[in-house]
Amino acid sequence: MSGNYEKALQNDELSLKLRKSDRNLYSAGVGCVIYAVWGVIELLLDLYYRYPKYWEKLQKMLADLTVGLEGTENADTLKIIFFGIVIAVLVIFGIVALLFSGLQVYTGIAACLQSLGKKKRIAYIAFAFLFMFFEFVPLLASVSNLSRMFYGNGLQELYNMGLGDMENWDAFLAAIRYIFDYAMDDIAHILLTLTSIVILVELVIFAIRSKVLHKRWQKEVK
Amino acid sequence: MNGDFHYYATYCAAVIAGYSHEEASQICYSAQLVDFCSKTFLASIKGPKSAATTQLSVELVEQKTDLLGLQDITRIWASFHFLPYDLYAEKKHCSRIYRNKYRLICNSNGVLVKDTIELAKNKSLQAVGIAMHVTADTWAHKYFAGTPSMVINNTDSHFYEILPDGDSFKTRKMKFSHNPKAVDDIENAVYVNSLYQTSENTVMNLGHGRAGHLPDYSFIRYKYLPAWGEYKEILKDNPSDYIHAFAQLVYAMQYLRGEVESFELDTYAWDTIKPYRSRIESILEKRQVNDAEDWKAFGEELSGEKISDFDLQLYRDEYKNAAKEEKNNTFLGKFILGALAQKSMVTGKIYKSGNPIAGVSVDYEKNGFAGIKDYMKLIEYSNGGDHHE
Repeated sequence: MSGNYEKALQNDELSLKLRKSDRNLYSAGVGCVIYAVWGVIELLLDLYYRYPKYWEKLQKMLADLTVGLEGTENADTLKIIFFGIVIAVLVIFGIVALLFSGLQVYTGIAACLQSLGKKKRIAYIAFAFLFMFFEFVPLLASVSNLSRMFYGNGLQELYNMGLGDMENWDAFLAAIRYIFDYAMDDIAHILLTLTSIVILVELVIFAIRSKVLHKRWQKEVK
Repeated sequence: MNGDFHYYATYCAAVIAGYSHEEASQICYSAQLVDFCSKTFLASIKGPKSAATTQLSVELVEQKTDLLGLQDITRIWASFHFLPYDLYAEKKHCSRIYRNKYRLICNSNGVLVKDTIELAKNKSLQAVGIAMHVTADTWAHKYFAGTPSMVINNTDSHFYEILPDGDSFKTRKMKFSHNPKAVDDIENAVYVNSLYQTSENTVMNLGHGRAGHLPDYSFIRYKYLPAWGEYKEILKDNPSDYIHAFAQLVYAMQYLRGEVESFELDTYAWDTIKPYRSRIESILEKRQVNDAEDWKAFGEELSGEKISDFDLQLYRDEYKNAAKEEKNNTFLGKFILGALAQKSMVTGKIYKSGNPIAGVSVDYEKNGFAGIKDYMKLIEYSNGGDHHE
């Protein structure tokens, strides 16, 4: 029964760092996959709930294009071409969105596989960098949209609506509801995008750290 | 630990410690009963539900995990199956809630083990049996806590069995499945464990569920990463732990019989078990999930008597049919008193350490009686008492 089985334990500093790095990489990989799936869901929800607004805009665009041509053969031809272009754009947009999401899923899965000591790839780290920069664009757009409410005339308009008038409770509530309706989308979008960026940053950091530590570990074992 | 150790091995330890066959039978029955005395069982005999020493799977499924529910769970599991090692353990850079759970981690030779054994001194054989179960479990259930907690009891797929290989050893990866009806495949190292749950307080994260039955197999040695371990591997050498448990049970029962003056931690009856050591080690190291037959054969050789198999219904009628004033003198009555005393002691110690996780404990001597009326039995019993047989 006797035996020094404590020797089976690998609790040196390098092993501990490697384990921690791999587990954090796995978590970041899973987060990346979840965000990829969320991106597709978000797009579909956006199309579904904003469909009437988009349809209205398209109708207006078409009306502007066919001014003076109503009832003619040219108007019908123009309509067909217009909607053909719209559909083509939608299809291309859909393919690009799916490709983008697919690459995100690939990035997440590759990170998970590396953390489990299975396939080792490098390309996913480059993709993670790219996604990080892509996330900044919608983030800045949301921040800009949100700040428009409180800068310049935006704040004055809110006060005019009733924000500063504590005696007129209905007007005050209406102003609060207006802020809520206006800002909620942007606030939610900012929070989600920041989280996504944090996950991607962690993924890159732990992916690189994991590779470095693995190389060091292999040298020590040899 | 499983029934093979709590029942048959405890019988063997009791006989080696000097108890007669009848006494050893009562002790080992009580030790095994700790794994069956649920609220359902107590309700069936119209006994006090506060004396529950375990919770069945069906009870756990229905168990609420709100504040009171968690306290109820902790009171049972920390008192009887995962005795806390150090209620004042220090842990830096963590929240108070985390520290409270960290302090419930079970390990052998904690102060509460001494308290448990001393509590059984001059008490009934049933109390001795309860103490033996609790002590044995401190070896098997090391490194897990008797409260639902993902941050303490969770593990991941990093499980490696350590197999002797001549003078050295080799390791092999263990796999887990979550099918509760599947049987552990010890040859191919595929075991059953509870499903990963992200909720902190789910009962799936109670005790050693995430490690499956591994802690209860005497033959196995493995290393794994516990959630509280900060990425350090922990070794679980069950053959070594189990023989230490056995030797400590013998020593504890020698103390309870009066052959040893005081019970000290980290002390074992190695000399007493020396003639039987190789036999015991061969049982513990045998690669099988149930050692009952081997322990039973060994016990019958030791005592020269036949050991009856555990029968949960054995003492039911005695308790049910006894008059109210006689119930405490029945087998189950004495067991219930022992269970109430153990639970009261452990819960009180946890509460006194400033940890509210097992609920509030009332100091009877200072504040008089308050709380769960079942414990009134203990007060009445303490005034009369039953002496050690």
